[in-house]
Amino acid sequence: MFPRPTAHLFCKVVDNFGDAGIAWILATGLAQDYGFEVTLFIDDVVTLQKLAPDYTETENVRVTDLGPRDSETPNLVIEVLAGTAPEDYIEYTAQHHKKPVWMIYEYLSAEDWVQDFHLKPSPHPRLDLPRTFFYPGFTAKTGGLLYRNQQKTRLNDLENTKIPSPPLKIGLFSYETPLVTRLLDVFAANPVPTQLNIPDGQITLAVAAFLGIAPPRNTEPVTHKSLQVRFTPFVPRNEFDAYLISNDINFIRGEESLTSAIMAAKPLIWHIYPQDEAVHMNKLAAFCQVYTDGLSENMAQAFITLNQAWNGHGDIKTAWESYIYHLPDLTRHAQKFATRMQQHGSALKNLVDFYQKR
Amino acid sequence: MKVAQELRGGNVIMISNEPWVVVKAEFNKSGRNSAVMKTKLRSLLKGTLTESVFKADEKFEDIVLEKKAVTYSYFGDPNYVFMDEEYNQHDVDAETLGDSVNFLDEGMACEMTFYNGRGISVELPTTVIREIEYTEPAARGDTSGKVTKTARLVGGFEIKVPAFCEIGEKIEIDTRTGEYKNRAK
Repeated sequence: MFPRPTAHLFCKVVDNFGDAGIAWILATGLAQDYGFEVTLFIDDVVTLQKLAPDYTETENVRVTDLGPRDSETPNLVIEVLAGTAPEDYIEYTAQHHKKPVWMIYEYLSAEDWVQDFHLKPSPHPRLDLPRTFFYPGFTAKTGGLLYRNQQKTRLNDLENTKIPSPPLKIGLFSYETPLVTRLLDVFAANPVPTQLNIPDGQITLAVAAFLGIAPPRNTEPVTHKSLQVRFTPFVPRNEFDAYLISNDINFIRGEESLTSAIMAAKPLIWHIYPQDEAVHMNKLAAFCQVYTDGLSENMAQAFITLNQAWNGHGDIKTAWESYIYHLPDLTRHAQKFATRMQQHGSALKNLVDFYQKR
Repeated sequence: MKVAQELRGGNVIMISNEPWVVVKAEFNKSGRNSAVMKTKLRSLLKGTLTESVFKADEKFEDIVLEKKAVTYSYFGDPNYVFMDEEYNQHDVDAETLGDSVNFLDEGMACEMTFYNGRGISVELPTTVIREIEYTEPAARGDTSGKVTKTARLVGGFEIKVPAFCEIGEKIEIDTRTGEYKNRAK
């Protein structure tokens, strides 16, 4: 029996759950879908524990916040987003006669330039250590989206294809934003009954204040006009896909949730991570352009306008009304888009293919 | 030491004990306010070209080479000819100049860097002024959400400009990045 290839992943949690989430998908995917023995070096195990409460029991994945030992040189190294290997580890590895395949796993973007940067070499300035940039993305010239095999197979679930009927079930997972109360006003005034599912997070207090209640301690639903709000506990990673699929529409935030929402094949609205100089609006525009390819002009505009409004550019009420008007077509389009993304292969598969060719 | 974000055409850096001249450097903002640079590099020892990507904060050993003040004289196909203060002519090819070819004006004062007596890079004035020959008008009610658009300058070079720029406007361009700086004063 051949020994399992080994992989070291380095993750730095900057904020929220995205860093840990992406590193966890990479780690568990490599271990369980592609047979690697994985060590995940992460500086914030507490965040990972909330996201993956069972992380200590995950087969072939070891998690530690301690540095690697000198004697360890794996077959594959991945620096995930802001994560970097320690300097002494880099020095030691560069001297080893059999160097690992070293990947720098970057942020997801639909911008054109990403295609020119994907799989470009990044030689270490001082040491004899080849490294390669890996860009997840939305086209065949990128690494594809990051998802596990079980997320792909759910697309065949016929339950997913039904067109929404009242009450409209909406998942709301966003960064803190003053727009949440405006959104709730719009939902409450909608003649179509709406059930809003809110996992515990950055907007819980604002929603509770809107409803005039104390911060929720249980999951009993609260009704306001035509809106019923269900506060749920924090949703760990292994329950997040089911949460997304259970909704008719998903408001999601950040990169990892966006990918999961795409693979859940339901209509979505993306709260993109804000960046200096409004750079994120160009990235949002690039994503909207890719996502709406194949839609009629009116439907595309409905998608774009609501996504812009939710990110602070435009009126939410009129944008929402237009989005809902096109909901049946947007639901069918969500299926098609997820299927189209699958054709590029997952970022996991494409990364492993690159590793195996080196 | 230079960080990758500071790299410009003409810089010479060491990678694994080999000197490389930066032919072209492209900067892009990645996620979470981080950035990456794609560089086209030419080996000073072998003359080979390669493309590499670096995180914006990657550090490089900077090599100091001989520099001279030169002026741009003319295009002697396939090379661009510069003259130093002692009236010596020095040829540089288009590949070495990179995007700088789009900003050359006859008589422009530049600085040339030499390696083994050969001109390997030319540094232009940091700012030039060019007129917009064509760009899409800024439409009222534009709902695309984009803050920039493409403009073609007199001479044919295309760059991204703010959505408010119009045909005929004169703009300042940073020759180091090929990017829009300001409306010309």
